[in-house]
Amino acid sequence: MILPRYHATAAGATVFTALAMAGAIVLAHHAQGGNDNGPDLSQLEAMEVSVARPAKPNKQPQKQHRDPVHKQDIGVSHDDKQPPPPKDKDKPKDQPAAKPDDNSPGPTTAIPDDEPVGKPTVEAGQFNNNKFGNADVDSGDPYLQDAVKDVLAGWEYPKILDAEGTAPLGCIQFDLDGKILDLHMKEKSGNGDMDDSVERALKQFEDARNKDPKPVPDRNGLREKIAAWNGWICFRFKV
Amino acid sequence: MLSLQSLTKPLLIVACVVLVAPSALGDDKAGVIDVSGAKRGDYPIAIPLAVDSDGAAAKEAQDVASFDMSIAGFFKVLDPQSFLADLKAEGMGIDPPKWKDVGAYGVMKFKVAVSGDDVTLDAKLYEVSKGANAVLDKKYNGKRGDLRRLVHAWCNEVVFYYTKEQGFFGSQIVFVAKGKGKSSIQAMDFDGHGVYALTHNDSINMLPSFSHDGGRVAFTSYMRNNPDMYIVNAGGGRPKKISAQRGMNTGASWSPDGSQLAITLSKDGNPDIYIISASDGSIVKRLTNDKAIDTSPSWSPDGSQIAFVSDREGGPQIFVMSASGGSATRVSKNGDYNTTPAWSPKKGAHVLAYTTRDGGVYDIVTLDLDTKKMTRITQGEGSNEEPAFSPNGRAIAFASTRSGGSGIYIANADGTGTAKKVWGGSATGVDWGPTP
Repeated sequence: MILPRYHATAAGATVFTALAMAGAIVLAHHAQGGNDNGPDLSQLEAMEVSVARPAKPNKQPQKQHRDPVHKQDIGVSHDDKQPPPPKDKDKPKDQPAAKPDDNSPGPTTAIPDDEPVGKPTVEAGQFNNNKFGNADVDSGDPYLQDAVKDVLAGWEYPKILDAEGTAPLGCIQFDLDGKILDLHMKEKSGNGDMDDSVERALKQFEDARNKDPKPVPDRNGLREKIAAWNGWICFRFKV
Repeated sequence: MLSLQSLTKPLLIVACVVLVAPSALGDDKAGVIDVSGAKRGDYPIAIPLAVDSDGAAAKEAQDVASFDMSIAGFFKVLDPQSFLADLKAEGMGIDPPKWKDVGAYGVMKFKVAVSGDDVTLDAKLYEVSKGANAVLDKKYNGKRGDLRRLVHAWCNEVVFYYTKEQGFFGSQIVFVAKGKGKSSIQAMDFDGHGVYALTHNDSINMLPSFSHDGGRVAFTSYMRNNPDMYIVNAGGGRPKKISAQRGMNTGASWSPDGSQLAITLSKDGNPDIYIISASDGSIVKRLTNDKAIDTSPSWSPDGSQIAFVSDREGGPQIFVMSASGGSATRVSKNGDYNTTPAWSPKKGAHVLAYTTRDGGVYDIVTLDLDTKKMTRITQGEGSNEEPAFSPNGRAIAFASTRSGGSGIYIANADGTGTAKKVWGGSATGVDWGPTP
């Protein structure tokens, strides 16, 4: 079971090394003058990023997040004639402990165990049906996964419209501080409605990120990677 | 379990990226991420108030169009409060970015001019992605009282533009309004406007059925003490008795050409399905001859089949047989109580809607006879009975008793969305006529 993860790790290291080299050289290139016309399509680089879609129930045991169950406060009697509650020392000490009953359903809680509560249970690191054992959200950097999720959240394509056409390619230029510098429809689909829906999704993403910038984290060479792309990340939109 | 597949995928990814990366050195490049799974929701359409128009007429046009589009089955009417466009400056045109900013894909513009009793409706449809040129442009003239009808006609054009299907706006619904010890046959526009009575007796009148051309309504009445079958013009008038066999003469369903009726007769003691002439009530053919109760016939749109209810296998279930007779096949497999079948008029579809009892309440479901797929139209909203398809098969009307009030509701026939109430009151026996 360790072997596949090992290969993935090796793959990541190889990719990172290659990209870091590429990033350094491209940064130097852009220091001499960048390209304002969007990314060169011939130099686009495939990435492995996907978003978790908890459409199917998880098969593996899941840890449920839930609010702590608060103990109910017991009221205090104000009846002077009522004897005080027995203290621990007043309890009979030789009383045998109750034996566990395998047939007993156990104590009940206010929240049924089969109802998800608290945070969603499909998070990075959790098991699901993915053949690698982990949720899809584990592949790729979480920053890019968030970007995909946010782009997808704003992408609506009315069911009444024809979905024919090739998948359009829309590009977003990220500033490392989290703002969006530019948008660019790199490849149109040939379907005006489809391209329009993608432009709307990109614009919505731009507005949201410029209102609430999410800086590119300094981890795993991600900043260098995005800088190497002059900030451009492209999304291939498939209905 | 370690598999070859689990090993090869990471390796393939490595190969892909490593091969691409060296060629990218020194050039402008970008990461590419696949994004799939657009939300395939309803089409957002904006219907602003008409400018340079008669105030009341403009409001009426906006209200009628908004309701029509909201009930069509695939549009989401945007809240006019959200509009950013300068409507006065735009007039009958649009400034596309302003509409794109509020999420509109389509924009409907009206100009309504009233002159005495006459009204003129100018209507334009814009697709925001196609810019500032209207994709549909129509002009309608009529009497002021016809404005609703004119707007319905326009909305049918809009639906046809997008779907190449006829809309159902302007069609009528007939139903039974229940009173104390009596019930009457009523007709109304599909949106609940213009209700009028088709029967004026103090008896029990039930099970109305529109002819396919919309000109006649068949129904059963106890006005002569026996449940006899009558036909009345859809616009009203004196009903004509068409079948008065001993016992039941109920549950008429018109043949597609309007010349015959499938009905339930119990002249021999046991209810069975017959075909009678729609002109004189003479029996053309007896379709079932079973000791069980056979009732509620529904003639398929192509005329080849009859669906009906029978308890020949225990509880009431839906059966289908050839309209020329022969053996019947049970098609409803869910639960122990299924009644009131109605065929979808959608071309090429073999879909029935019917009432099913589930956990003590009644709900509407549809059943695709080809794929056997069942779709629930109502659930957890009181008791819902007696479905009828819209003329294009996109919507289903039904009688409901629910917390939102008893009455007639319309829901999308694909099970999506929320049902809209079009008539309030105690109703039953819903049937939907054709689009004019």
